[in-house]
Amino acid sequence: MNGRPQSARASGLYTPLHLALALPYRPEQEETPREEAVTADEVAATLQRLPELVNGREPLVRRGQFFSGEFLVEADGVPVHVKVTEGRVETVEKGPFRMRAWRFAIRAEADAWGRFWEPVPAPGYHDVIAMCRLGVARLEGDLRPLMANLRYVKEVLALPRGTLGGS
Amino acid sequence: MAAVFEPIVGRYFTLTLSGRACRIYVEEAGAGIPLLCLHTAGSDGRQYRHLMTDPAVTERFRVIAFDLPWHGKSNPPAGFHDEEYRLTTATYTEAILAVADALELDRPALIGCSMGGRIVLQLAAYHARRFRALIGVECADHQTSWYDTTWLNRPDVHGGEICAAMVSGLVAPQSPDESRWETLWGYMQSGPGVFKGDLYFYREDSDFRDRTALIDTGACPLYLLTGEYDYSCTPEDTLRTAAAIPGAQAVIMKEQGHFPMSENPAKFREYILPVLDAIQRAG
Repeated sequence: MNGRPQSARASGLYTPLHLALALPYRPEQEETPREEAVTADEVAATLQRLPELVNGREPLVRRGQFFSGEFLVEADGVPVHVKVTEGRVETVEKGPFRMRAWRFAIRAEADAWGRFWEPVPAPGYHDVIAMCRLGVARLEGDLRPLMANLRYVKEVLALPRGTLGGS
Repeated sequence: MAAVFEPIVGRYFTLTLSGRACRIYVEEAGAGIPLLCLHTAGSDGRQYRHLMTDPAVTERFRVIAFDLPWHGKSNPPAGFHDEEYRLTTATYTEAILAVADALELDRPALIGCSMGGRIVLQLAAYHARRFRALIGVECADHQTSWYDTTWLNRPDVHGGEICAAMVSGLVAPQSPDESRWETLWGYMQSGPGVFKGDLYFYREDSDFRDRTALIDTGACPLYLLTGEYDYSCTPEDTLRTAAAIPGAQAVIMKEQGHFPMSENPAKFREYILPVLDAIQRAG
């Protein structure tokens, strides 16, 4: 599902090391079925908490002090516009928009954002770049401001981790 | 208060590689079977400091880690300021064998992570008789390109920050913060273009898929250990590689990412000590 690469099947040629050396072993990560899929509206509502989550964290705001810009975070095609000024999240607005400007967009399935924000995310859903590698997210637009501030943006987006359903 | 020194000792020596003098930094600890350690792309030998301070390892292994030229405390060769650094299969192999020869290591065991894991396959195929065992951590025969490496070295994006931010997700969520950030610090410190130049080897010059059949694990045992959170060298990549090499032994490590020896040393012990036991038993 979700374009996740299929696990390689053992051909029987190699020896699983856990058998040879009595190691803990988990050859294939089972997809953990989620109790209820996260919706695009829930993703937007979660993102709208970013100002309260970000702006009181002095180290994070300081890290982003040279970043001012506007970007989209999208879930199942529903865009959320985030405006940052010198490391502080000024506004978060849910679309759709008409002619709204933005520099870069981070687009993913709502379900992927839900998995990303789980307390201990499964492999592949634990990082925005990992989700891109997995094929459940993609980066678009002018990536220069994103790359120049990648740690900041990644840490901002990860802040709701473990808080879904608790707000 | 008197300093309580770690058992790690570091020294420098000069090695001629591709006709050029290279000042190499090497550190070691312990005594016994030589265990040569290869760091990941864009980092250095400090990644192995926990193996070097673990008596369960150093009581029977002489653990040796060197920094490749351009990395850590090994300088780039004279003239570097006018060239673009690019590691290749040939230059990487030359450096490893030359260091082993210079240190007069007798059939060392070797452990390499990430690009160090990739070169393990080259060593297994073409130089197996020089090693008593090969351990590829985060090792696979090929990696699908998953980002544009030009972001890693350009004047409008800070090199240290982007290298660390690009690999930060390769550390498993369960890894302790102190070890996570020490691992990333290595990436923040690498010289401009070094990580990118290493990835030339990893991405462009080392597709090993058509050569795995050359590996004879009867000549030299091959162990492959990969973290479940590694999305660069994925568990699927490693298991595919292992499946193509008769006799290769593979394990997927729980709650580990791409840098197990440095991101979660306590967890890595659970996996590496049984491998070292097996190497010791084989003699």
